[in-house]
Amino acid sequence: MIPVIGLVVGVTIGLILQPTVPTGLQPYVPIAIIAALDAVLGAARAFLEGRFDDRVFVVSFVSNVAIAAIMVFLGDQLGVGSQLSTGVIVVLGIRIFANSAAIRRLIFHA
Amino acid sequence: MSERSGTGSSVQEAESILERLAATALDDDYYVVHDDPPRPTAKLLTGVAAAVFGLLLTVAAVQTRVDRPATEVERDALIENIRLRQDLVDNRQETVVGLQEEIADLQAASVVDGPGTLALRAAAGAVPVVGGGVELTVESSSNEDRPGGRLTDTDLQLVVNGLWLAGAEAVAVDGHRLASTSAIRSAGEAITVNYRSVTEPVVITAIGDEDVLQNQWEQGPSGRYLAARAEADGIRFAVRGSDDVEMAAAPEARLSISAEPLRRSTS
Repeated sequence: MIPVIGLVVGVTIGLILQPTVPTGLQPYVPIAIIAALDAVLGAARAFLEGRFDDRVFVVSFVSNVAIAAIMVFLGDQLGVGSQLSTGVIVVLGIRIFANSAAIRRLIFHA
Repeated sequence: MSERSGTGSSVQEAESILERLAATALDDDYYVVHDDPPRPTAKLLTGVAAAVFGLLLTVAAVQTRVDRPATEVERDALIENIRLRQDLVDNRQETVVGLQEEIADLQAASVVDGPGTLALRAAAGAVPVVGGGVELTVESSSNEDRPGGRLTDTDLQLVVNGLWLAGAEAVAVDGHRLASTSAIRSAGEAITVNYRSVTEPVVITAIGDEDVLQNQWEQGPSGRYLAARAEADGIRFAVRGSDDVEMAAAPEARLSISAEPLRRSTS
């Protein structure tokens, strides 16, 4: 229940305040969202499997976002920004799809 | 790391890194059994994380939506800018053309044609000329793979030098009039004259006494060289006299000379 409330609160804050992302941070936002989405889907799957753990979710969420941001930053510094971003998106994308498939199986049993 | 239940075996079977990735999509830590109930702070942090996720999503979406018109406005402004600058360039170019005409008129008005001035200008390549002369056509060997069968800048240089030696008054290569600072050289595959590339077959025209030019050239070192090249490498060439050879003036850049005469002649 708390996560759903949190999600609603976050979206509401975003819609009301409409904060602008500083230009320097803009490249990190999409990757951060993908990383966060991975953590959220993992949490959803764990919840449906009955093994959800708040601590694991928070840690995986924070570390996912942080590592994704670090990899984008590192890529920028090495001059291979887009390639590293692509790598991150591929890896996270596979995880997201795998977790979605697991969730689908758990809900629809198919 | 912890024991995987259920999917544990697939981790060992996974052969590729991608398969492994899909097999371990759920963080291993979820499989650790926790006996103690989650503390309230952890629950709160979960809410905070979810809120952050929602905020990120919303901010990104809003930003993209807000930015789009801005980008379009910027693009339109750039296009407008380009159009204005192009108009400006067109205007300036018209001005340049007008000024160049003015310069030509003023130059024509300022030059006092003394005796010999026109002859000097014709010899220097500054004016278009017409007269009798010869027309020489040179071309690479028909067999492209033949070694040495390709026409080179040296060939053209020797032909032109031979024509000067034979007494040519004016020479043009493929319509490019040669002045005293003209260069015939190769740039990559192409041969350039006055920094403009020429295409084969290269037509070299020279003004002078038709018969003298032709005979002198053919018997001179240049003619003999080209004949030898034709025999050895298959270079094709033909000379014919013509009583109506026309050529344009050399380009302005080939005529401008920074040197000044040391002593002005008193004529």
